[in-house]
Amino acid sequence: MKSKLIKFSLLGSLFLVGCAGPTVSYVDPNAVTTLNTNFSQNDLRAVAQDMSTQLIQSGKMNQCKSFTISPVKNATDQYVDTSVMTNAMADKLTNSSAVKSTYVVSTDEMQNQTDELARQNQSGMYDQSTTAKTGKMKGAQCRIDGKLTSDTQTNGKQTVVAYTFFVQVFDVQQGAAIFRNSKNISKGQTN
Amino acid sequence: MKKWLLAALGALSLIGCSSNKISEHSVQVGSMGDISITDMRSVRVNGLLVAQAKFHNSGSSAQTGFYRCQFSDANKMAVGDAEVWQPITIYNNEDQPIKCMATQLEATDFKVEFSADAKNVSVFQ
Repeated sequence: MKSKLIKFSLLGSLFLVGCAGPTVSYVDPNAVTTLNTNFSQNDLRAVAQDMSTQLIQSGKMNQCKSFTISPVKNATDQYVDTSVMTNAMADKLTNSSAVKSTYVVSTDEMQNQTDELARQNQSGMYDQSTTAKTGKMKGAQCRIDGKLTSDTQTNGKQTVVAYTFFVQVFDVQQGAAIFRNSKNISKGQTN
Repeated sequence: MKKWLLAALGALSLIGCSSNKISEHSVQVGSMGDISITDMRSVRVNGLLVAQAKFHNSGSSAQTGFYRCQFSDANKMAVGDAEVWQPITIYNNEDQPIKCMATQLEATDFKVEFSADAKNVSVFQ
């Protein structure tokens, strides 16, 4: 009876060891991730953070009463969700106590905005004295434009990928640039 | 008259930029390796605090470290969210300055965190 019990517990423990799956844990979202040379989420946040900080520090944003952000052009050969960059920049600029400029709806957010206005004004479901009126939206005085580029160089087992993130701020009416800056990140891999 | 004006302006610019005690404004995350912080200063630009730390590599080869800055207000409350660690390569015998800029007018103090070992600030190695 005792030996049977031992056999069962041994089999049980072997079963548990055999079924041990991958380990999952929470990790610091601000930590460095160097798993490959791809443009990571951290790189996205780091460049957006750096560019918006430089822009705030320059004081140039206060030349604009309102601003919007155009979608960042991805000129790399990778899929990069550049909305993370535009959102991170908009967050930093909007939440800064040093920026007086107001963020207004961007191209990406326009469809939801017009849908809501149409719903309130055209569905016939709302008390018209409480609805937001069309034709009252604020136009952006300034527009932030960005572009991400990459250049890959390989030599046998070594690869270096250089990324550059350009940011420009334009006065929409004049088309004049009031701020320009870029940030470089290079990642190397040896196989 | 001009001389007095220039002297007054000079004195004002000195007050504007102040050097800071390194130990009060730096945090070592793990090893510093051959890297040391040799100078720490801050200045206000457009009302915003700008901090500069100068790193020196006394080793015989280039070293990549990681840094980030944290700002706090007059009540020692953190200003802004924790930021992403930034890489920096310091070549041997080189002084490499890094600049951190606050984005909130309330920031009055800062700390520079540094790690010479990527393992301390990485998710996976």
